[in-house]
Parts: sequence; C-alpha cells; structure tokens
Amino acid sequence: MKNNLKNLGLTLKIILQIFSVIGIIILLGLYSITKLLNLHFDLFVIMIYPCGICFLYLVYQFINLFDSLKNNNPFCHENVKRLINSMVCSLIICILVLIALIISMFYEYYSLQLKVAIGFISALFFAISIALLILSELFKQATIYKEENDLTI
Amino acid sequence: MAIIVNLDVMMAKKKISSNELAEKIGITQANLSILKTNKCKAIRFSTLEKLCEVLDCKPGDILDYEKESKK
Repeated sequence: MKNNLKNLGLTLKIILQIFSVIGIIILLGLYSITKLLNLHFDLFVIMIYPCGICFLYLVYQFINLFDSLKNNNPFCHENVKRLINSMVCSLIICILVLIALIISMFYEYYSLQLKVAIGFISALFFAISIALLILSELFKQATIYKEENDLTI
Repeated sequence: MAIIVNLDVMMAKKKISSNELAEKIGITQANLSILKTNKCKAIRFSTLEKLCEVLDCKPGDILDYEKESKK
C-alpha cells in the first residue's frame, strides 16, 4: 500500500513537471505563437500571462504536494499551506478571467461563444478554488488527528 | 500543556535508565523521549499501567496538574 502511494506520488509528480515545463515554454513563446497563428495580440492573449503564472504556481504547489505523497507523509502542515496557496491562485485566475469577460462585454469584436466559454472557465476556477478550500480544511483536520495519534503513547 | 509528566523524577528515584524502562514497558526510545519531554498529547491507560507497574508507583506520582497562566 505504501509502495503504491509512493509510485502514484512519483508518477503524478513527473506528469506535473512535464506539464509545467510545457507551460513555461508556451508562456515564453506566447507572442511568437500568436504571430504564427495570425492572431491579434489583444486583451485575451495578454490576460494569459498573469493567469499562466498563477497556474504555474498552482502546478508547483501540487508538485510539492505529490512529493510529500512520495515521501509517505501527506498529512503535514506544509500541505495545508500548499492547498491554501493553490486555492488563492485559483481564485486569482477566476477573478482575472472574470475581468477579461467584463471588458470583452463592451466590444462587439468578440463572439458570444467565446464570451460563454470564458465565463465557463471563470466558473470552473471558482469551483476549483472552493474544492481546494474544502480539501485544505480536510487536510487540516487529518493533520490534527494524525498528530494526536502519533503523540499518543 | 497543563498536565506535566514527572517521569524523569520517578526514573531518578527508582534508578532506572531510559533504555531499560522503554524495554520493560514495550515502547520505543523515541516514544519514551516524547513522554519525558512533555510533548505527548495523550497517554494510553495500558502504557500508564505498565509505567506504574515497572516504577512501582501511582499515576499521581507520574502525572501532575499545573494551572496555565493566561497570556
């Protein structure tokens, strides 16, 4: 069971590390990509930068979280902090996307489908932040129980 | 914590080493150290019973209560 947990933690960590490297490359080459695809370097593209940085930080937090899973110590105070940090990042992304959506409302240039999609992404990140908040509370309780159990002689 | 474990005093009185005590009551050295340094959150009745048996004393000799001053 412990070995399975270790392997799962290691696999998820490697997958997330690959994703974060791809994310960094995309973020750095965003201007070139928009030029290559003949897209306007407009509000939505600029909004990707802060959202991308927040998302990368969120992924980094999860890499550390899976690292603790690999080390067979998932219920610790650091993981609670990591989940709260992830929740804040997710909430920032939600707010940034919402701002982009509100600004796009004043322009006829953007299609309704795009606005609906952006609204859906914003709602999705809001749901993720709530889920992360609940998860952090669960981890907090589990850490307290584990600590109590460990310190019962 | 308001509960104080006076294990050190009792061990000195009975002239028993940590190693010996841990072996006799069947807990690890690390756990005995947690108990001695007052870091433990709870103590099982079975552990307390063994401690009393080995040290030939009563729970009151090992545990003490001191009112915590409000900060």
